[in-house]
Amino acid sequence: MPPLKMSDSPNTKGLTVRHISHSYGGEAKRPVLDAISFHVADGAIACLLGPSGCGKSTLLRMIAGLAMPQQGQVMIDGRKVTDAGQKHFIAPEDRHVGMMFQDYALFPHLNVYDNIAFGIDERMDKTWMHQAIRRLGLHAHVGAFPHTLSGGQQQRVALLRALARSPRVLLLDEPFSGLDADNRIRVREETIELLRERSMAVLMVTHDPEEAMFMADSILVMKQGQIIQSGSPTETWLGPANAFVTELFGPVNRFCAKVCEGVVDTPLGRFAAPPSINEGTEVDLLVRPDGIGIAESTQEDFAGVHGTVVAARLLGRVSHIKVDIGNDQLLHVRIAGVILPKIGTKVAVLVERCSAFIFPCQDKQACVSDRAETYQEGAASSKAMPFSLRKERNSPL
Amino acid sequence: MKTFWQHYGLRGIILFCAVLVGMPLVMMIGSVVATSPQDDEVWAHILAHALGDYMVTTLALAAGVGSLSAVMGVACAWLVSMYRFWGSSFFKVALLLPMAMPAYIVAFVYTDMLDHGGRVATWLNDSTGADAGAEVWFDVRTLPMAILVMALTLYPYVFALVRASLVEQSFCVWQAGRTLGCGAWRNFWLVGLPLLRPALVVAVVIVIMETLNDFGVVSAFSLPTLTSGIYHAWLNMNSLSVAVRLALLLLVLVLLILLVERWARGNRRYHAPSGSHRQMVAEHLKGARAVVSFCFCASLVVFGFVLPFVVLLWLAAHNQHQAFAEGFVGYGLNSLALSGSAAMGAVALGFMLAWAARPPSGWLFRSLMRLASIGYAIPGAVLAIALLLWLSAVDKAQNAGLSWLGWQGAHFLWVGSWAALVYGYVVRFLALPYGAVDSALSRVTPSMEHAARTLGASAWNVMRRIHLPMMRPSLMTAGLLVFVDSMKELPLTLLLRPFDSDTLSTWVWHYARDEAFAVSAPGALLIVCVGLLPVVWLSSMISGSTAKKSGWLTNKQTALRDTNAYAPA
Amino acid sequence: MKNRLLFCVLAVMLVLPACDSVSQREPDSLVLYTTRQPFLLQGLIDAFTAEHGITVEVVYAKSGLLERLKIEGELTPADVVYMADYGELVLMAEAGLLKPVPEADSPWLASLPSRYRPDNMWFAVTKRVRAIFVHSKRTQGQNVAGYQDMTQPSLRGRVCMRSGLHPYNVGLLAAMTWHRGEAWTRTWLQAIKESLARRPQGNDRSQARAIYEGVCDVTIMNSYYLGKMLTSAEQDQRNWADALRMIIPEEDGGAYVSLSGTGMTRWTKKEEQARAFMAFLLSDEAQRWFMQTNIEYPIDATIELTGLLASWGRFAELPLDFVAVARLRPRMARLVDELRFDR
Repeated sequence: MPPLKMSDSPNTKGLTVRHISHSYGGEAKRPVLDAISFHVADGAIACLLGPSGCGKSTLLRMIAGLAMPQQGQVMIDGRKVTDAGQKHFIAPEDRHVGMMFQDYALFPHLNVYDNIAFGIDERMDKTWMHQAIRRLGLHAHVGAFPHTLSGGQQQRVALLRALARSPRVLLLDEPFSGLDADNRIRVREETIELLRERSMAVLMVTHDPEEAMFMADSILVMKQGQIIQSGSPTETWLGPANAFVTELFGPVNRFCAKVCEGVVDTPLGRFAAPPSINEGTEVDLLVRPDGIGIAESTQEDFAGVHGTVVAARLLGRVSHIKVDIGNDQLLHVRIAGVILPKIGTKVAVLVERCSAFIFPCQDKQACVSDRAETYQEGAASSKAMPFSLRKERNSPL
Repeated sequence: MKTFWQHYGLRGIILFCAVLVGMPLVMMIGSVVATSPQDDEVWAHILAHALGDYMVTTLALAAGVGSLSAVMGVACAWLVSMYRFWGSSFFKVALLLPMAMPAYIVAFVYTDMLDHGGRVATWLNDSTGADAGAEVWFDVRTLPMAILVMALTLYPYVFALVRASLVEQSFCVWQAGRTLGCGAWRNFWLVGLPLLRPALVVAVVIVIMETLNDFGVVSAFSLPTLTSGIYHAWLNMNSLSVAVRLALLLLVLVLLILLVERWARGNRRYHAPSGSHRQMVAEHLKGARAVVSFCFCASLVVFGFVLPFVVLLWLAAHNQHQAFAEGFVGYGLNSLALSGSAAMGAVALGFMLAWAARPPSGWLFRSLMRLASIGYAIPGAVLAIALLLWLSAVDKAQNAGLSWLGWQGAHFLWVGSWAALVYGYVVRFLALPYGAVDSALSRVTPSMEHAARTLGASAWNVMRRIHLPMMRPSLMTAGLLVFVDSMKELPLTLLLRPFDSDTLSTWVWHYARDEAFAVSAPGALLIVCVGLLPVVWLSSMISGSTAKKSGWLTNKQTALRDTNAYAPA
Repeated sequence: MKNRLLFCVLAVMLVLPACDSVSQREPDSLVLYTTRQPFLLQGLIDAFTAEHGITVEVVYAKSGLLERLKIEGELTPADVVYMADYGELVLMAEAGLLKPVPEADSPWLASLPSRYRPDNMWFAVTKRVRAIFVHSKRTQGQNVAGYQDMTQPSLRGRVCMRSGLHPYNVGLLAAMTWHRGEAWTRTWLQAIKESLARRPQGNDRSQARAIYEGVCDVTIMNSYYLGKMLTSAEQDQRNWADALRMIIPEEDGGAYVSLSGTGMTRWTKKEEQARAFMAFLLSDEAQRWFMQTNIEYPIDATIELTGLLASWGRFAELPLDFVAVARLRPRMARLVDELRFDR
């Protein structure tokens, strides 16, 4: 695990979480959070990325003071707000934490303005709030009630409400999940702009890797209550810690093999195994579809892998091509631009070495099962894959 | 120290209130434990000769009134909400009117009219020329008639709650049912009824509790129910302890019903999950169906309200000079002040208790709070005795304390004070606001509460700024119910009322008891009229349309009505 | 701001009733607990206040006064009780809630026969008879002189009764049992049940109405109801009463009477005023008032009957031991249950 940006100095500004552990049904049972530690600096945006049910939201609620962990500490601007060991607990209202909920939790009995101004004292300066309302185009709706607003507007109200009190730490729980695709992009940009101009630590929970990469200065990948990788978006993208992290960022081509003399031999060719992996270990080779190039080739003497195009679709800025590389194995390839070879075209396949990752095989079952469908369909890609593999295999060539 | 206060202080106060409410009940149970051999003898007699009849009659009455008022209430609520026919908007208000009519008054009017030689028989005989009415009379004082009379005055509870629930549901749900091939009738059975079930169950439970508790109608119809058994044991057998035992049996019955309600509800929730809300579009009824609908609604209003009201009016007009001579205006003011205080007290306390018992608290705390609101299930007279036991214990302790301090002879008694009476009403009727708040609290999602906390509101502030305003309509409704019920309450008032002061109900009773009901008919009429005001207002709360026009309700509240769909899916 | 104002108003309205309890009562006033009705007492009390300068505060109740006195114990504000039915007075005396009045300093006691003032604990004020009423025309052939006659076969299916559990009826049964024994009473009640025209129901007046309407021909009612109906403002009630003939059952030496009575509470601190009040209830003035207002027989045999009572005349009265009779009541209530009289 890469070193965390942790600081032991109690005066550090921002949000610090130390060794938080929690489990349901007593100590011995299933841990929900397992020794979570990280630091989000003032002004930084961190993203907790992970599949649903991995404990992200629980962690968020513990930071906000809405739940008490069984172990660990939370510090905001160097001040201890939760210390399970010493039973020290500061009420959520006194933590200077802002939180935005997945369902927005707008108060149905208050209008937009009253919702936003809920946390603001009468004596507080409201200029920023008024400006922000205007900037986000909510000024026409200040008298309206939440249920009359569109999803995007509700999201903005919830965000402004959380920001209006100038919290030291802002917690966002899946802030964009309730929005449709085009709204999401616009609102995201507005949000990041708004966050950047306020000085505070932001911790966002999401299961969407693209969102995490777009918003975050650092990404914390969570799996089953543990942080399995943390780093900047670039670091995480270029050097995923394991197969789980790699697949979190989108569907990949997966091949199974054994390390033999420091080399992994796969249908895609031979790859040098990382030195950390022992001889004879079962490994997964993961290749992102955009890390593969193809070239039309009829030359038999080409040393690389050959294949036949089974399907080619244009998805807008990228083309998605399926290549049969023999042995009943399909390869998914994504190439920028309009590249639509005819079905049946013989191609040569070139793998970009930096897009291929080798990890010890963790789940043998997954490795040996249905070898034809090496392309693991992730949740995010389901829309981008409108065709079924089987059907095409049956189609006459 | 602030955290301590937040964690324990508020809860402590609320727990104290709950204890205050529960204390009379504890005293009551205590008085059962302290029995004499004489009491046991009486108890053995009751077991051998009377209890069977009491149970059978009570259960039959409860089942009959519960189901009949459910049928009446659901049918007219459905008709009035889903369809338009001649008079339907009038019925939206008018169908609530019988709620203002104390059941014992209706019982009196009907036994008077339908009894052998009553007005109906006399009229029939006069018009047919028959002699002495031997041909046309039937026994009025029967169980079915009692069921009918009680259902006629109690169905508005079902109507009000079911209609409120109908208005809250998203119209899309009904439409979905229709598009999925359900006809109007099938739609009612397959979609409507299941969705209305929670409201219906709550309403029927209220109706059954009222029925179990009733003494006026039961004694007018001379039916051997548990309540009449309680009075029998107490007054004829001189055994308060046995009376309390029977009262506890009644309590067990009520608890069983509540348990069944819980069990029937299970973990299911019935809320329209969508945030969008469409106004109901009523379908126009024509021809025979309109006539049948009209007649059904009209008969409920006529028999439940108009007819008894006219009889009262007629009696009052003949006796008004005497009523004014007895200063019934003063009694009216007493009643208003008392019922008003009781309504506010019960609502405030009911809200606090239900709020404190909302889900995150443990089952023990929850059941304690729930137990505190059980006064509704105890007959007024027994509760009055329990209250007397408790208050006099307080008085004694207090006077002992005062004289120890050298404060001699200060006759400061809770017994017989207005405060004690209001306290009694609150104990008796706490279940109404408690239940209303308990169900309304589900509209406040946990994340709303959490949002408010992170926005700097303390637990107390969340209650004041989120729970309280979101619950206002429910609280208002509950307050009105308490108001009307306190206005009608009799046995408790009789026993706990201060010296030399009457309320309308006690004044009416003085005469009704002497079989000279007509003299106090103006008083009865006033009870009904005062009861009418909140009933009309209640109806405007439910439909919301009149409230908007009158400007009484602000924009906010009407919006709230529309956002009830915000409840968690 | 507006909210805060509203809150204050609500708070004041909540607290206001509590303040009342602190307010002191008039120091010299007498507190009366009674099960009689205001219309009957208020005029009398006004007269008493005018005469003696003592104000009286009254708690009117239907039931529960015994329990209230017991519970309040020595803190009770009550000085005097006046019960419509003597049964509760007997229980109060047994529970030690009453204080005997010494004969020496109460000359008004002498005129009262001793069985009307057991141990000087309580004092009868008025009396009444639970009389038999028959339809004046339809029963002309029948000889109905006593309770036993009500069970004759020719009257089968022609008897109306109110609930057997009503204190009036329980009291009658207790007197019968005292006089003739429980076996006799049981047989009689069973026979009445078999003669009923309808299930026992309604109040006393509705029995009169049932007779008028031809449902039945014989019933039992308190004597004063006839008077009240005869003098009623309602034509209906006068019609019912006109159809009736009252028979005061004097078989075996006299009729069973019932009493209303008064007593002084054990804890009273105003003994003198309390005695004055009780003496007033037994005065000629008050006795006449009861005679006129409620058509009840005066307890003082020397008082001349007036009005309706005069027209009914005097009757022979069985010398009941009222305390013993009152003690029989719970047993009678059980008898009614056992025979399922009301079902």
